Order: sequence, then structure tokens, then C-alpha cells
Amino acid sequence: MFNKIWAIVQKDLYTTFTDRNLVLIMFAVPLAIATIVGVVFGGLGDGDNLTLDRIPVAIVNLDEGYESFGQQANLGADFAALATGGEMTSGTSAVGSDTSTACPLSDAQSSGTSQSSMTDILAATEVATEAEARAGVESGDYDVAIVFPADFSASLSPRINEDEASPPADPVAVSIYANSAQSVDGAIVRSIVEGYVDTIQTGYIALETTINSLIASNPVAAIVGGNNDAANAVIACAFGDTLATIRLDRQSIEVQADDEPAVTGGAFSYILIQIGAAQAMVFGLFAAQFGIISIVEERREGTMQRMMLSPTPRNVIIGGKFTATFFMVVLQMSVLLLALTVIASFGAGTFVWLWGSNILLLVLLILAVAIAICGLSVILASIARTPEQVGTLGSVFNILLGLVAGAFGFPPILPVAYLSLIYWGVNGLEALAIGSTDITLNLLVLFGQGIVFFLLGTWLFSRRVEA
Amino acid sequence: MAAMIEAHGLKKVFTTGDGKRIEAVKGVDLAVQKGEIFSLLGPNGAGKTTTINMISGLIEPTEGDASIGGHSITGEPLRAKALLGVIPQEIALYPKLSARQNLNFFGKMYGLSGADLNRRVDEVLDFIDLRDRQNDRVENFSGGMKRRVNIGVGLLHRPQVVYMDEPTVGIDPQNRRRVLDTVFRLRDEYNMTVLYTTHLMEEAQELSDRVGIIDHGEIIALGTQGELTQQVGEEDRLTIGIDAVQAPQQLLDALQTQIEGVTQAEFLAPTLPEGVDSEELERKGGKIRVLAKRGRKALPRILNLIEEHNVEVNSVEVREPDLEAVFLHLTGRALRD
Repeated sequence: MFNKIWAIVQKDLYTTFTDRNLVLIMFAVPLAIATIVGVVFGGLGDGDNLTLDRIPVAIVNLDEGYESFGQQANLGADFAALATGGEMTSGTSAVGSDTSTACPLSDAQSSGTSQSSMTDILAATEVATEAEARAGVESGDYDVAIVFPADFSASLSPRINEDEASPPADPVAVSIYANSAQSVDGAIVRSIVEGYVDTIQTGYIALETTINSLIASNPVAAIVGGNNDAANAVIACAFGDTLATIRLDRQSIEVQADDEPAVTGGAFSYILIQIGAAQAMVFGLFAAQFGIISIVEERREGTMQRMMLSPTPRNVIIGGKFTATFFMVVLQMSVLLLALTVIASFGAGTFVWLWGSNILLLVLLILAVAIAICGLSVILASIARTPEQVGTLGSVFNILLGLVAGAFGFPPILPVAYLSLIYWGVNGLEALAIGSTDITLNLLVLFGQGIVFFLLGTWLFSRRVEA
Repeated sequence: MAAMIEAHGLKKVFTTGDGKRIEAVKGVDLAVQKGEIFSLLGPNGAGKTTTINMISGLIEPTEGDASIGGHSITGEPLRAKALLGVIPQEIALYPKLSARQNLNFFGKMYGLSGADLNRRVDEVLDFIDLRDRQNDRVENFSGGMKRRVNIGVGLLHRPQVVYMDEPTVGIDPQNRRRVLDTVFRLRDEYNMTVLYTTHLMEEAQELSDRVGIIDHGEIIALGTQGELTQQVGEEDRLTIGIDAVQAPQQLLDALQTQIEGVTQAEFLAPTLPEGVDSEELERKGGKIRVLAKRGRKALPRILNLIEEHNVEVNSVEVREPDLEAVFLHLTGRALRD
């Protein structure tokens, strides 16, 4: 059985790749489109930047705050204020201390790092309840929701003048809900929140160390607390503007000097990732269309019937055609993704690997996309009766799938885009490109679509052959 | 001894898009012996190909069953198909592959591999006399060469039964002769059973050990050529072209009553494609068809009688009893109608 499937695969690959026109359409056209769009909108070179759309975020602040050592703090509210451009409340002294004292921590945070205001990145809205935020994410109003728990501030509060043997507070647990289809945005927001918490913790560690050493050397000062200038300065730093300097270095996205986030390799590479991934998917669909046309043509030319008159079960023949199309799409996508990396490297003047470091996930994603594409091709083959019908139906299918998925520069049309394999494929590649590994849902949807399409297509195809 | 090909009550009903049921084959019974050349003769649309498609397992019968070498095509389709080599009417090859690549591919579909496959491909290339062009793409071959490769593919796995579906359609006389000679070689040199469909009476007559005549989905006659022509007696068939678009009924009656041996006389109106004007119709004229014992002897008197009715004769054709006559006798229509 496998010999026969392999014979069909070999034959189909040979006839496809010896057709110069097909090869041109499968490889040269998508690369040309991605490169031209990349050059026009991103320019060449490493230092070019690209402004990303701000990420719509819902913030639910359930934080009850805390008061300690004469200071009031609500770190959840502060995050919301930073994200929305509002005014921070923490760092205000219960006893009216001056918070304008020079802040060494702030200097330390700023030195040598690129920084960005959260409002440049997030389009944040405060909402009252977690349910409301979740509903907003589900409906697509927000890409991500952040929920600060009631004990968020308390769990992060510095341990000042406490018995060292006493147990530490429970770890802070901030909930971040991102629709898995928006895994890139989710990863960015998670990175921001982690950066925020890290910054607080760094400040508090310094605060704890300083205050505790002050207490050790001057217990009286510890009692009056807020009247000690040195302590006030440190506390002010801990709760002050330092919190606004969020570093996004958890991901491969870096904050540039002019406060605009970009992908390694510059805007050109970023556009190559977006457009190139989309074009790889769209032209993967067209490659599969060639596979379908070959099925319909074989039926028209009589070679399909000839195969069926041989002692070869029908499912082996369909399996062979499916496998051939699958190999073709996998080969095409792999070559396209590699070629895009080469083009990005030329553009940047240095080697740039676009697709993240997790090669296993990249391979899995390519396989999942190829299976989904091939499944769709089997359905198309079962519906269309002539190569012309395949051409028309297939092109309409491909363009519709690309349009709703945002493959042509427009934003994805949600929630319809969730039906498009291009959406899940491009989204997965973008996630991998920024270093995220959270593409489980992408893989599940793509593999699932492929299996369902294949079973449905095979059933329809068998009915057609019978008729 | 069991027949090599057997069919019992084969019936196929198609349902059209508007729900109409078309009974393409209405219960065919057939038995073809080993080493026999059996022709299924019938006009286009008679049900030949549908019958053979059911026998070869390409489509499932609505009712009935067929077997090849004792293997039911519905119960053991793969075993049955392994014994069958198919040579379709159309060239069913991959034009971008060479002759050898085509043979290799279809050989693999029949389970051949390795040295066995290579040897068989070489043998077939020799058989179809294309060894020197084996690596050329089929798309660069002439029609006759493509036809030879098409035949070669069907013979690759040394089938016990070869089914040839109108293999001479659209080819020149030289290649047609080559195809017919190939059919004889398959029977005489390889003892293969050949199932041959055609709408050309001459081919069926030349090739067949036995003939089945099929019309409107039913086998209406089956036997050797001699057995079939006996059904229409010893009558010759005379076709007389006239310059009129209608023959007087008195003439037709006179032909049947006044001339000894004439059993039937009928007028065949001229047929032209739609849109052709009446002048063209008149120029073409009609035909009078006469069935008569010892037709050649009766011909002068027939021509005289026609002249007496002021009808001008354009052409005369006399044919002795043949399968065409059998078909005409059984259906009232010519095979080519």
C-alpha cells in the first residue's frame, strides 16, 4: 500500500516541479510580494522601526492596596494609571513626606536601557469586573484582560522590621486573559506585567535592605519612619515614577530609542514576517489548488480511472494524492520561510532568523498548516468537476480565507477569522517570531480542521466517483 | 470450465440532477471463455462502456454481479482487477512523463516493483516497438505512438483478461491496423481473453470469435458471426441513393410486391445538421434501402422499377449479410444512426 502511495507522491511531485510556470507561481510570486511590501512599508536596514498598533487591554483592579511604614499603596491602581495615562496614587505619604527626593533606583532603571511609556503600547480601559473583561476579550473588544487580585499590593509589600523567620507572603498572582488567537498581544502584555512586578520587587528589595539597615543602626528612626529623609527617598523611589519604566526584554521585542517597539532585524523583517507568513499560507493554498486541479485533470484525462481500474483501493489513491499535495505544501512553505529569512538577512545586512528559536514548534506549525490546507483541497476536489471550477472556486476560497484573516494588510475580521486556517497559521508564525511558544490552540485548530476537512472531503469524493 | 468473464443480471441506473432515473444497462448476462476475443457491438450510447465499467469494477452495478477469473468484482474487487488489463478509448497517460515513466508508474499501481517491474517495462516497450523512444515525453509523441503506450500500460502486468474500449477511435488506418494485429497477438501468442467494445461493425467482424450486440442497455443478440447472420437469413442489403427527398409510396410497395426475393423496402430520409437549407437537403437526396435474397441478381430489375417511377438513381451499394444487417434486422436502425 505504501509503495503505491509513494509512487503517486513521486509522480505528482515530479510533474509539479518540472512545470516551470507552477514553480514560478509557488515560490517567486509570494517572495516578490512580501519583499516589495517589506521594502515599501518597512524600508531596508536594521535600524528602521515600525509603529505597532496599540494593544486593546481591559484592566480589572480588585487590589485593595495596603498601608505600611506610613505609606499607602495600590499597585494595581498604579498599573492602571500608567496604562491609561492617569495619575498614580501610590507613594503618597500618610504623613505628608516629600517624594521629590532624588531617586537612585530610577537612575539605575533608566541607565543603558531603552524605555517606553505603557500608553505607547497599550490602549487600556479599566473595567469593573472580571466577567466584563472576559466577555470583552471573547467578543474581540479587547485582545487581553489583566486582573489584579485583591491582595496584589499586600503580597508585594516590603518586609520591613519583620522577624526573618516569619514566612514570606504568598506569591502574587495576576491573571492575564488573552484570546489564544491573540497570542502575540498576550505575550507582550504578559511581558509588561512581569516587568512591572519585577520593577516593584527590585524597588522593594532595595527598600527592605535600606530600611532594615536603618532600623538596625537607628531603631528610633524606624519608629518615626516617615520623618527620616533617607528612608523617605527610598520609599518614594519604590512607589514613584520608576514604576513607569517598563522593560520589555522578556521577549525578543525590544524597546527602541524613539519609544517604538520593533522586531529584531527592523521594520523590514517585521513586515516580512507578517506579509511573508500570510503569503506563504495563501500561496500554500494555491499550491494545494494545483494538487486539486491535478485530481480533476486526472479524472478528465482518464488516468484517475486507470488507477482505479488497477488493484489499488480508492482510499490509497486519495491518500496518495493527499500526501503528494501535503508534501508539496510543506516543501513550498519551508522554502518560502527560509527564503524570507535570507531576504531579511540581506535587508538587515546581517543574518536574521525570523521564526524564533523553537524549531520543533515551527515544524509542527508548518505540518499543521499543510494538513489543514490539504484537507481543504480534498473538499474542493470533491466539489469541483472541472479544472476551471477548481480555479474559480479555489481562488475565491483562498482570497476569502486570506481577507478575513488579514493576509492582505487589513486587520483580521473577527470572529469570522477564526474559521480561516490562514489566520491561525499566520498568528502562530508571528508568535514564534517574537519568541512565544504558546501556539497550542493554533496547532489544535489547524490539525482539527485538517482532519475534519479530509474526512468530509473523502466522503464527498467517494460519492462523486460513484456517481 | 468456468468462463473467464461472467456477468449476471448487470443493471445500472443513473439518477440525473433533476431526479430523473436513467436505466443505462437493463440486466446484462454474459460469459466469455478463456482465450476468446469477444466484441461488444453497439451504437454510441447503447450501454457498452457502462457494462464494461461495471465488469471492470470502475462503477458499482445497481443490480447483479460480474466476475473475472472467478473473482467477483463486487466481493473481491482487487483480485478481479489484478487479472484485468484495461486499454481505455482515450489516451490515459501522463503527458509530462516519458513512456518509460508512465509504464513504471502504472506498473507500481499493479503491484510490480524492482527488477520484475524493469523487466516487464522492457518487454512491453519491445512489444509496442517504442524502446528507442522510451525516455521521450509522451506529450511529444504522435497519436499512434501514444496509442501504443496506452496499450502497453494495459498489458504491463500480464493480465489474463484485456479490455479494450474502442481503441481505434480517431487514429489513422496504419495505426488502426497495428491495433487490430495487436489484438490477435494477445490471443494467439499470450492466450489472453480480449473483451473488445466497438461501434464499428467491420472491426467486430474481423476480430471476434463471438459478438454481443447491445442496444438501449440490453444484449439483443449474442453468438458467432455466422450464428448472428443466420438470424437475418440470406438477404443482401441494397442501399440506393436517389435525387429526391421523398420516395413515392407506390414505388416502395412495388419493390416489395413486384420483384421476387425482396422482403423489405424503405425510404431513408436525408439528414442534415440543423440550420442547413432545403436546397442543400435536395442536393443530398435520400436513400431507399432494400432487403432482398440474391440481391445482386435482383438489382437490374430494382433499378428499372425506380426509373419507371421517375426517380433518378445517384448511387448503389450492395452488401451481403453482416452484423450491420443483423443490427438493422433486430432494431430497425442502422448501427451508425
